Amino acid sequence: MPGRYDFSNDRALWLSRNILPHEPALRAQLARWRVPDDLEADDVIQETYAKLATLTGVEEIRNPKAYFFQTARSIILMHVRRSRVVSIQAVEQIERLAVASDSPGPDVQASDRQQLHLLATMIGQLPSTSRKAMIMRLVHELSHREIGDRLGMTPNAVQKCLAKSLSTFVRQLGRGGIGSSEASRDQIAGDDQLRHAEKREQLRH
Amino acid sequence: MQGTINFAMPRRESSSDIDEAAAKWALRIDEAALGAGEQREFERWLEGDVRRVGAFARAQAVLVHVKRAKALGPAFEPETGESEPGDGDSRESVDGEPEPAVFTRRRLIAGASAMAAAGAIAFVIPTRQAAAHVYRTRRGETRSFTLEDGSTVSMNTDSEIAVRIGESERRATLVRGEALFTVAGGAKDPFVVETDDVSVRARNATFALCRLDDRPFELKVCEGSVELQRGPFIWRRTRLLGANTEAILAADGSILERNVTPERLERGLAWQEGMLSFEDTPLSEAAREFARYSDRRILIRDPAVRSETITGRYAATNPEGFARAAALSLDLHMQTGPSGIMLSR
Repeated sequence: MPGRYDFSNDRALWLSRNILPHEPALRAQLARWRVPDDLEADDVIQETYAKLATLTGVEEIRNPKAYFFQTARSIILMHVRRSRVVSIQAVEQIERLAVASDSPGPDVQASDRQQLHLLATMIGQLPSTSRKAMIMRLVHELSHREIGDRLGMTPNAVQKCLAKSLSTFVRQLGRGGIGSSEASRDQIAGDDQLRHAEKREQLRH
Repeated sequence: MQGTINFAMPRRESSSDIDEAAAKWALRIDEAALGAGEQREFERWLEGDVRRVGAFARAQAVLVHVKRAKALGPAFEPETGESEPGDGDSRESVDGEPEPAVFTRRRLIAGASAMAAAGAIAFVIPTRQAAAHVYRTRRGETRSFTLEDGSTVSMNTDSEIAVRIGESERRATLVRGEALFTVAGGAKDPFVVETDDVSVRARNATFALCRLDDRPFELKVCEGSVELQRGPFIWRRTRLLGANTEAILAADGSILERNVTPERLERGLAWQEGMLSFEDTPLSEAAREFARYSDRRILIRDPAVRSETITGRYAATNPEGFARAAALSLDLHMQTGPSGIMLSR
């Protein structure tokens, strides 16, 4: 039966190897493109991943980075065309924007050892309990219940705690902020929340 | 069903809220397969906003990535850069029990490989609870039957459908070919027929869906009304089609809708009686129709002959009979050979 989304291990692996490393570059590109005000980069990124999860096959994609960028661009265009506020000129402007991702560029994939080191750093930066839970899950492959038994938490609380760490990783990997200090990361997160609040405020008026 | 998503809608769920929920689902699904209730909950969550689909796919990708931390080995102690009182104690209880840990890990490794095997089969949702019954017809064969819910299906030549009738769903997937559905009314849930990115929902209707290689999909609505949807989520478009309409669904995602007379609809569905019915139909098109029903090809090289038109009803599995009639009425030369039936001037 034709699936609507591919959430298989294979697709997750493909995304993690071919798309995830380019997310920081796409975010930088989104900042350069003039994305309309009612569209946030985070929304565009999520929708872009959604599109990639709905593809029936990814084997044919030779340049995943370019594909990633193109998809993001088409999503912006779709929203712009749909929006009643944005002028035709804005559409033309965005349509003219070239997708500057064909060049190999400086994003050389980190070596396995570097990646492991970054992972260890990310895990090390988690708060104590979260870190323990994450290590038990990732390294020792304990179930949420077993982790809960060891940390005196309910399985539900473990899942919540792991989820919080995972979304921190999502944010860090997506923004290329793995090596950044705790302080600057908090700064980024804080700015984001501020931006969100402002946007929502604008929408209400 | 979820329609389009309005981006100017106030009080939208923030993308970071979505990320948190997506992370929770990714971890939940990573730990063990979902139960039926959770599966439905997950699907409902996903369908609420297209961004959730993306956030979930991304959370899964990140989880796959960070799982490589396993390579750090059981002795891995990250440099935390922070010292906490009592930290050492609680870590004792984590790593300080070698025997149970080994036991647990061995058991979990078995569990993990079983999960990996399950993961190898693409986890493509929506997964459905009811078992699928697959029906096929050979080339030249047609068949009609009644489903558990009282709906009837007629399948045209060389077709395949998979049908799931369960407590909470009535669903058929057209794998290839053509099928006519007469949906029994009265049920709570609509009957859904899907093919590729197209889905047709009906509560009380008769409609045919056709999926052939190198041709646009075709939907014909004879009675009642159906809801036609195409594309996933924000790319999804919905049309309500009444009786005596047809929709041509081209590969580019477009939907061309038009009214047709009942006579024309009936002609298009004459295959139910094993017939092909033409009215001013070009010979090339008729030949292509016959090719669906038998391996015996009608070959027409001359473009002028190809565009000659023909009218009448012919037995679908008798291309020779049709060719003879066409040759007679259009004053053509007919020649049968191993490669097929040649029509020429």
